[in-house]
Amino acid sequence: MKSFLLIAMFTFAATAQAAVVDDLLAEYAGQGATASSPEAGRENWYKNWSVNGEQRSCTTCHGKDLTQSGKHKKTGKTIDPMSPRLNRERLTDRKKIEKWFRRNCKWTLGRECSAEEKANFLVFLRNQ
Amino acid sequence: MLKHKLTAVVLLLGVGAVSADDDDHGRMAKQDPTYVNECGECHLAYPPSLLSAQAWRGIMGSLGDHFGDNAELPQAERQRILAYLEQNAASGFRASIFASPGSENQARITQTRRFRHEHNEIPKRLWRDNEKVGSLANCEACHGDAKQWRFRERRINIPGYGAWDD
Repeated sequence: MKSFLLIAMFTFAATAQAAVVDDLLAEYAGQGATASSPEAGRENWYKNWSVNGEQRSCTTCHGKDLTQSGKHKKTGKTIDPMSPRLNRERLTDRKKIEKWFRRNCKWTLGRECSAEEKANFLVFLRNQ
Repeated sequence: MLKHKLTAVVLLLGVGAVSADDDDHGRMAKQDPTYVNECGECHLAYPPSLLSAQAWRGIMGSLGDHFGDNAELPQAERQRILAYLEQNAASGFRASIFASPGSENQARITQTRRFRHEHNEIPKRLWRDNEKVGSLANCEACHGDAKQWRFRERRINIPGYGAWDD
């Protein structure tokens, strides 16, 4: 019974993640995103962006290993792993995804991400 | 008998008065879930009573550059959180000890008189140069009950050092 419940939970979480991501991908496609590329998403994730004379990257706070916890560069606060496989809460809340795209693109890239960049991030992250 | 009871009451009141000085239990606001969710992701969602309403207005009006980070919020959340902070901010006398001198729109809790008074005896090697702490803004590192907005001295545990006894 217990293993059945666990499987059910994981399936439910995976389904929730898939639904939210698909929803957003459809929206980004409507905003001009063409075929979304996990490789481009990966590249942007690990890239160093030069902002305000600083080198910034998603990995600055999230760390290089998506299955590990990250740490906020300034406050030291622990950031739960980004991997949706490990962290079932990732990619399940549309509002949260959009909020963090807005904040983190502006900080890391120095500007908002384009619809295509966001789509690429999502298709990269969802398989991690 | 009555004399003993009165003595006990006076003593208890005295103890209460002394320990009330040591932390702010009883004065912390009820935690607003939106505030805690939105403002507690990169750092502790700080108790509203640690800053004046004016200081909170300054912070909430400059989220695009929130001490060097981007903490922007959708308008509805921003207004709701601001209202909550203003309602529960330090006021009256407490506003003066939680005032942050010299800062325009970026008041720092760690720079308020009260905060500095509570932390200025801690050697820097225990916080700034302590890999597990790093900053005085990282309350949870030493204050295990910080998430519940409790900062009792006897519950302090500095990583790599231990309890703090003033």
